Amino acid sequence: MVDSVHRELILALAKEVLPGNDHQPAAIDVDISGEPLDRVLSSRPDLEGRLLDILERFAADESLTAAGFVATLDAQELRVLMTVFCGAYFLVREVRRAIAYTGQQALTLDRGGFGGEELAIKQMNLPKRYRKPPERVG
Amino acid sequence: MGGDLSQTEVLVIGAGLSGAIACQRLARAGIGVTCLEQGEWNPRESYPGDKPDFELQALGPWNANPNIRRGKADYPILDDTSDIKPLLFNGVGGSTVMFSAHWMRFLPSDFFTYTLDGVGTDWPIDYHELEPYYLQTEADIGVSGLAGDPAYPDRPEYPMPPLPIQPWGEKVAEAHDRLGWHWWPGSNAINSRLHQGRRPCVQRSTCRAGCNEGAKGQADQSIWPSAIAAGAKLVTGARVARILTNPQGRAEGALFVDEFGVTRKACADIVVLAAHAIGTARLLLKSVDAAWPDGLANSSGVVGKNLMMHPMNRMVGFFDEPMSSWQGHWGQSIYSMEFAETRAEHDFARGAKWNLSPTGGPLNAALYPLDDPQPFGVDLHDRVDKWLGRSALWGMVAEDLPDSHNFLTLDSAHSDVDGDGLPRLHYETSENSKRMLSFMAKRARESFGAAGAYEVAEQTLAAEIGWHPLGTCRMGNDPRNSVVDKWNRCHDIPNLLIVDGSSFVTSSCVNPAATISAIAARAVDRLIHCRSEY
Ligand SMILES: Cc1cc2nc3c(=O)[nH]c(=O)nc-3n(C[C@H](O)[C@H](O)[C@H](O)COP(=O)(O)OP(=O)(O)OC[C@H]3O[C@@H](n4cnc5c(N)ncnc54)[C@H](O)[C@@H]3O)c2cc1C
Ligand code: SF4
Repeated sequence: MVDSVHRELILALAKEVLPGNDHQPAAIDVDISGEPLDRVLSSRPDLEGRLLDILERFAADESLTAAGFVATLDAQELRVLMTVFCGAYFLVREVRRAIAYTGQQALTLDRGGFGGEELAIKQMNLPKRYRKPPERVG
Repeated sequence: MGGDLSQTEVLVIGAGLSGAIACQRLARAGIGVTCLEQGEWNPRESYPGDKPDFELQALGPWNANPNIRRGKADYPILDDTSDIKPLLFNGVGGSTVMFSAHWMRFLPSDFFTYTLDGVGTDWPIDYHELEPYYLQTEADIGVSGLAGDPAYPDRPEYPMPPLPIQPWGEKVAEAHDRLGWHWWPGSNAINSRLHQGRRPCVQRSTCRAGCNEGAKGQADQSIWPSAIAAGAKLVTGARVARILTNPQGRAEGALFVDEFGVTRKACADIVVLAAHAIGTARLLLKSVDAAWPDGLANSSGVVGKNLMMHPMNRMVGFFDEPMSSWQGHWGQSIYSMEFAETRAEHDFARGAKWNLSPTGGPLNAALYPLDDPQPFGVDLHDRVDKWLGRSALWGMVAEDLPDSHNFLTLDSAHSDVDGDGLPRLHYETSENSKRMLSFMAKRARESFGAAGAYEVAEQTLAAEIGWHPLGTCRMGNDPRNSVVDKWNRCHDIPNLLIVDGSSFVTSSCVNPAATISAIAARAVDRLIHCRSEY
């Protein structure tokens, strides 16, 4: 189970992993270690054990900075960490607003045409380009 | 719980694409047919596409890799000896539940690679023999597209007009027009209109984890309802462990484990294997006995051999303008067959099909496995800013040629639930494919550049995208080097048919589902019309 110590470790790492930029907020400012993390782990309970292993290793090695620690992760561990952190971060409404992401929405199909009709007609008028195979004998 | 199933005329194993087509046609012809499927129905409401955590789920419980997904119906596939990891789905509808729905016919030359180019092997059938079946299955599945593509022989209109090619499709189409290169509006097994009671696409772009709207022609939604209405019986949660044969050398049914874990028998006059190129070869190799020590129907030694996986590159073009490119059908916006055929000036044989797609939401942007290392920190924010809504993706699928060194075996060091070895894939990407994809990557940069992309990122040889395993029980006239004949009947066992993608001789560069459907329909029509010969 993720406890308050783990949540603090997540915030310490989040400073390095998702520091924010001029319009995307920092992960610590939207506190990904709270409700967003819980949402990720309820969608993906399979990630929890591996996340805890990573956090416990981070806690055990005081000589490493957060950035130094992230650099020690192998590809699979980094994938787990990034999936949890980014998964939580991009679920936050404020972050979605900042990146102008409206979610995967149901839209009404435009019935006006498919786009590029004139260009398709040009293609249609070109000579056939496929290779004709030989007639099969027998 | 019950005992053995009552005898049926035809027993089909696997309720995926080919199994659904087989059952639909048999039932419509009034032939008694029962299908055993190891997975379950997955109702539309269960798909994650309309939930905010869609992207997270698509990486886990809805991942197309069964070794990651680890669903109840999934069997492990040992893939550490394969350059490319297999993707498939086990459940009613099979892999079409997750497929991207690009619907492409083979090119006429695909059936003659040896005669035309001195590589691969010729098929015993050709484009024209499949043409009527392409047409019929397009109507049943529900395909949208535009007739008149100069890369193909003439054809009638598609059942539905094409889906919008999207702003990124228009940019690239204009670029190809200027370059003098081929492009064409995508043909997709996705409704652009109300079709046979299924609604049109809402462009949510979540096709890879099942379509919540019923707009995608996945076989559970497009084919199975009419198959069942015509009288086909479908038993789910029924994992087949063995194909049974009698002393006369004929198939007599299958042994399966039902949803309660009880081993039962299903007997039939004719058995049809439709369990996917991995599942079918696995079942034949599992079905050993004194008469078939090397696997059922394997006197040729070819069962499991010639595994093809369609290596691919993916290229992402970044544009300045916002295009909401997380929306749009996840099928193909446009495709290009510019480099699909062999050309004298190339240093590789055959070619690649290109398909242009949208690029997903922010998690996809953040975690997408490009050749550059996984970014974090400020670089990650930059990647998302560049990617989200302002990019498009060329997938380039290389025609994979059959090679007996690429194969599937059962690895006895790792047991499955029946105590048999687990399937192991041995697959190495060929030098021909590597040269081809390196060429394609350069051309894709030109394509995106001409379309106005300010930057292009690359994923060379996308190892995690083995979406098209094919060829493990190939078709041929000679029983010494093929498993099934031109009507998909096993040379060794005349009442055993294999109608899935394992029967492919070569892979073409196009996506296989249209040809799997046409081959299954053709094989079953012949069975219906020449029933007494089986
Ligand atoms: C992510 C993804 C994207 C794809 N995109 C495209 C695309 O855009 N265009 C395209 O043309 N193709 C695409 N494909 C490929 C296409 O979906 C497959 O080629 C096609 O579905 C294969 O049909 P099949 O009948 O051979 O097998 P499947 O459709 O996979 O069906 C096999 C069925 O057999 C069942 N089965 C297996 N073993 C047993 C057993 N022992 N007992 C009982 N049941 C068993 C399985 O559970 C499964 O339901 C994609 C595939 C994937 C995974
Ligand atoms: S984009 Fe269309 S086909 Fe794909 S999941 Fe959405 S509605 Fe279905």
